[in-house]
Amino acid sequence: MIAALANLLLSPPASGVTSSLESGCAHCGAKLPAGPLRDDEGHAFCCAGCATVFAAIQTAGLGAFYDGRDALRDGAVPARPSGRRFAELDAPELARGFEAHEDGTLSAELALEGVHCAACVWLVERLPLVLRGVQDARLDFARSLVTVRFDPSLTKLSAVGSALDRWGYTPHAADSVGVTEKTDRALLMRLGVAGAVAGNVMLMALALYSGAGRGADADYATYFRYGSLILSLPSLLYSAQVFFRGAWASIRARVPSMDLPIAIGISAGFSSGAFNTLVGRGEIYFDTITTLIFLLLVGRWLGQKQKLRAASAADFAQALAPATARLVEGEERHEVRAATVEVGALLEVLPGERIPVDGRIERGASLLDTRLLTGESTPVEVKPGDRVYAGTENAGTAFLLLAERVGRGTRVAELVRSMEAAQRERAPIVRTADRLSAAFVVAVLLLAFATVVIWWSVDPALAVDHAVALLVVTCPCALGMATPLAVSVALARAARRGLLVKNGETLEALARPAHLVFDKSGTLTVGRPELIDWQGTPELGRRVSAAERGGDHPLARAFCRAFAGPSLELQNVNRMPGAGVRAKVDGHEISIGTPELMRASGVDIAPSIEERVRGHAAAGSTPVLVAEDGVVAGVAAFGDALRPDAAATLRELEKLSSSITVLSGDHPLVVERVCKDLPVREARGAVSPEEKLAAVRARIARGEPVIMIGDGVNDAAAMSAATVGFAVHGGAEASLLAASVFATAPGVKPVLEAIRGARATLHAIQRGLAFSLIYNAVGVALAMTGQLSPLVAAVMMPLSSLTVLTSALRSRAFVAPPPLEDKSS
Amino acid sequence: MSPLFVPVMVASVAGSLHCAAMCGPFVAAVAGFAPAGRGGHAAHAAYHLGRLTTYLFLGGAAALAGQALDLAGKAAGFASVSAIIAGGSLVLGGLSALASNHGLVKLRRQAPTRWGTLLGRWLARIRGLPGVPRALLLGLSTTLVPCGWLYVFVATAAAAGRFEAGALVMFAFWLGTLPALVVAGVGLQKLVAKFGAHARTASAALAVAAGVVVLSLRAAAPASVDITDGSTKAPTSCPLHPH
Repeated sequence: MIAALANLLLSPPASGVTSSLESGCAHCGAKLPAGPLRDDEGHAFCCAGCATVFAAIQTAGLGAFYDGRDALRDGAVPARPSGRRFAELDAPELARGFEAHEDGTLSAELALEGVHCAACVWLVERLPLVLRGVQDARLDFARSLVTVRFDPSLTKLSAVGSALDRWGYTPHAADSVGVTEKTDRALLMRLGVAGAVAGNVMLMALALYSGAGRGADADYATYFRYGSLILSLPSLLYSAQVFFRGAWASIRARVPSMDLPIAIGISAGFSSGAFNTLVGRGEIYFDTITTLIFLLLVGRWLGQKQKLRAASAADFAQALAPATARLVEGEERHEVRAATVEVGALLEVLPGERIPVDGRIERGASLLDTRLLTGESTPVEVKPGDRVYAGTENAGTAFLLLAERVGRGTRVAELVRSMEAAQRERAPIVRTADRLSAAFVVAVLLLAFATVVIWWSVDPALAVDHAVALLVVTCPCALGMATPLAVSVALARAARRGLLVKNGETLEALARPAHLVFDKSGTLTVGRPELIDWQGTPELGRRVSAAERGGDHPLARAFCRAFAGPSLELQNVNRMPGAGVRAKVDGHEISIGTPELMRASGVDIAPSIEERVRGHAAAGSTPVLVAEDGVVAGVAAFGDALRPDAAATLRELEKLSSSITVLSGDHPLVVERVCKDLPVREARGAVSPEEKLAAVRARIARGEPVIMIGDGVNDAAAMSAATVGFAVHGGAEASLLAASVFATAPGVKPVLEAIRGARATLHAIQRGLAFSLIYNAVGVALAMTGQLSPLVAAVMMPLSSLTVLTSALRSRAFVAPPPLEDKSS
Repeated sequence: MSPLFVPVMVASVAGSLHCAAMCGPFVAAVAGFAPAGRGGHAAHAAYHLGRLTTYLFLGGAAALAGQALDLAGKAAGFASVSAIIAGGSLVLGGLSALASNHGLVKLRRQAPTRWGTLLGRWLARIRGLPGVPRALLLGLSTTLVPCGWLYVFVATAAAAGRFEAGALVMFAFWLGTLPALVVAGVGLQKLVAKFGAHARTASAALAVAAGVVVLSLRAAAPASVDITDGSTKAPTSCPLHPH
């Protein structure tokens, strides 16, 4: 009979009524009211109840019910709405963006919500152990992006998504923007709920305290106690979930996290309070607990706001190689998208433009500024047949090149890939506070146990009460806030002084002694050729600069910078690209060029001059001769000049670090000359970007922290692999995006400032932690001796938080510019 | 027997048509398309037992909440706060339902699918259980569906004054829904299609009527059905101040 009933439900008598959108509730079939409820797929319902049951049935996978019903009614099966979550991850359009491997596996990127600490990384990377078909899972902590390598024949991406979601990390397709925004809003909502609850529960607590000891009506006391209990539930079940999930992740990953003691304190306080409320005797701590949750969430929210959003791979590529290229077809030139250029295409690159692809020069000679890619400070001469790379700048004349490697195959793209890989492999830094929490938990639990044992002989009920009081009062409220507060203050102050730091963990890493690895060009040195030696009269110099005025050549510009003066009479200016300048200045015939050029034009060069030229070349500088009226009258040497404050700053830095190394892509002789008087342990030249990365990786593998300071693309990969990447003013965008610190002021001094400020911040954090530990100690003493009442606990907690806050505000980090004693020469 | 029992039961029967239409699928899930036999009967009994249990608890809890409200109200100088609130909500809710059914008012029109999805996940989880426990759980879960009609009766129970009185109200409601749900199926869809709109109007009107009854029964004559300690006067001073 039941089956018959069920069948009847499924096969109603045919009538004129269908459950189409227009003429009836999609669930119960009743006629719709004037303004029906609609869901996202456009189904109309007569009431919220029908809409809910409809959605429930679809989600439970029981949608066949409607199919059967409707099919028998109107003879057609309507499209079933997808009730399974994350089915959108299996969409074929998305699959095109996956990377396919030779063994048939796919790699997909998912953006995750809820990633907030080191323990999350370990948990997410355990995915292969849990889900069959998943080979590898790598979480990029900074960007909350997980790269999953899976076998599509064994599992689907939606299954991966569901698994991650079950653990509390809701996934989205990697392209979706706004994941961080969602996480922010969720946390803000929890914060709001916790705050509202805390306020109300405190009001009730006030009533209870006012009545305590004055013979309050038992009914009212019960009312307020139950009221506090029920009101605390939203805060406990919703707002505090953050901590419970974090504690669980911490236990599973066996990585200490501050969430563990917090979770213990909250659960102990709540469960004992609930128990006492139900049996009608004993103390309740709901006011303390709810205020605790609120304050801790404030700290958590502060910490989340500090996480600057990192950029995606698309941004990197954009910043380096230009988006368009000029295709040559016969006599015509077309602007095309650089991504569509094919191997073998002929491209034209005009002066001042960036080269879009890797290739060989087909026609024309020029100068290339390769500083961003290789770090060479002087322009490189190129002629037909030479290989050139995407990302370098044409500093000379227009030329044609034949494309050899395009798109993802260029050297620059490979560098970006290795940078991303390095970022993923870098382990996130565990904070001081989290390190403390493991020991803290053990200590607190031991003390609680001791309390129970001591008081058991006196009165078992009292024993439990006092142990609970201890667990509640030691719940690390101030401890959880100490770090975010100090870090907030430090980051804000640093930003005002032109130092942009990504997050608090970076500050802590900067504060500890590490190996400093400097790039030379642009970091220690000014980064462009400067006149470093001039033999000749000042008038000659001024005449030369007048002749060179308006020249594009970097050496010409350097000349003009060195000799500024009133403009002189100029005639017959003859500029030969790459070969020199000839002009008549102030009545004198001035000729400027390389020694080779001078010899070729038959100018006599005295042996002393030749010797000087040789000396310059040996030191790695570029010698240039100036002939006046046919006689060599001046010798100029150009090179990368050391910044004026570099030596003094490095001496200070030497005291604060393990060692200082210079790795540069520039000529070894130049590097030797520049680093001659510097307190540098090792200075190497002609280091390729790949070699820099390897050097940094080797140190990291040995367990030694590395701070990599640079400004170009050639440093970006190494910066990603280092413990802290430090990008200096004037750097390529890629290095900015790869680094955790960015200095807007040029030079080496920002590095010193950053390290000093980081140390001061670490001290502030430690001070805050110390204060909170003192409060905890006092609280423990009171609890163990049985003198802790909820009132005392409720007072101690805001007091401890206030102390920590004041201590953080009084931090000396990044306050006044540190005076640099100039001990040079 | 509470004066509310019979009116509640009558109202419940009158509005149970839509009950069957909306919760019909639950019943079908209970049956699980199992072959006829004793297993099926037990499942259905379990389902209705589950429903009864959750209704009783809901009614009792609502009455307790009403009691607490009354206590707070007494402290502030108002009597029978719960009756006023319950009755008032019923009247307002019924009037607004009438207005929206007849197109006078357009309320929030986005369907609450998020809750439905959560409920669905719960359903998916209990799907795998054997018949009788599953039926029991389904019955217990029916109160998770946001059914306005149910809330009408819960509000009435809140005004009842005592745990037992509130539970009794919900028992009456349950009795009223039994016929429709047990017999569900015989030309049900057709009936609902034809009379569904009228049923909505009728239930909305009934809600208003119930509200008026509650207000008049409880709010106007607290002496006969007072709740806590039998005192019939509202306190003249705030009990928190010691005198």
